[in-house]
Amino acid sequence: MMEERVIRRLNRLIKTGVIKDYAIGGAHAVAYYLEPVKTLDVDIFIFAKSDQDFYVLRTYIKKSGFKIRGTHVIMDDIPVHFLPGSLHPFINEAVRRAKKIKVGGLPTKVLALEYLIVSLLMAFRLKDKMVIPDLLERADMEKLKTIIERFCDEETPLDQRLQRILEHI
Amino acid sequence: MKRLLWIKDYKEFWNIFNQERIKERKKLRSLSFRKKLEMMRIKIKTR
Repeated sequence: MMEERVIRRLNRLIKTGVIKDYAIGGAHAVAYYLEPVKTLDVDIFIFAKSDQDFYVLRTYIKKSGFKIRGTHVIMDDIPVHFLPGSLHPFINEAVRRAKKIKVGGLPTKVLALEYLIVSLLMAFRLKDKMVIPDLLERADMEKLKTIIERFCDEETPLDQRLQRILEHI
Repeated sequence: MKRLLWIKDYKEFWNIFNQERIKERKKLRSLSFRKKLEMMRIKIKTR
């Protein structure tokens, strides 16, 4: 299966030191907790303390000759969207706290439910808003609020966004 | 879902429709992650 090939490749990148760690986010993580949803790509959260860390992956992508389409790297026919931790400390924490799972025997990680919800509150597009209520049903609200408090700021008022969702449930 | 074709009452239609949707979603949620990935792959390929 193609997704498994991407997972195998990412696992190999950890072994060879190209990346430190990764976790599956976005629609695929939503599908892990809920039902399959429509998506255009696979979101991969990459642990990267600095831009230099991510530079190693960028160099690997370039050297390996992967096609780049817009913001996606095409790996095994799948558009992969890499989100490096150097962009936001939330990403690194989400990767570190991600849930260890297996897909067809392959070890991988998927964002923990509460981190997935926060990532959707950050993006806050219509499709994100639509799945949050179902995810909230399974979430640990105390844990979620603790994460929100730490990553909430004026630009991304996560607490207000969560409140808006809760008012509509 | 078949019975939906025979319902003439509007309220009853949506009631049954919603029940069926919930049942369907529950079934999809219980699938393995691998199976879910397979289903999502088709959507990526056909965009």
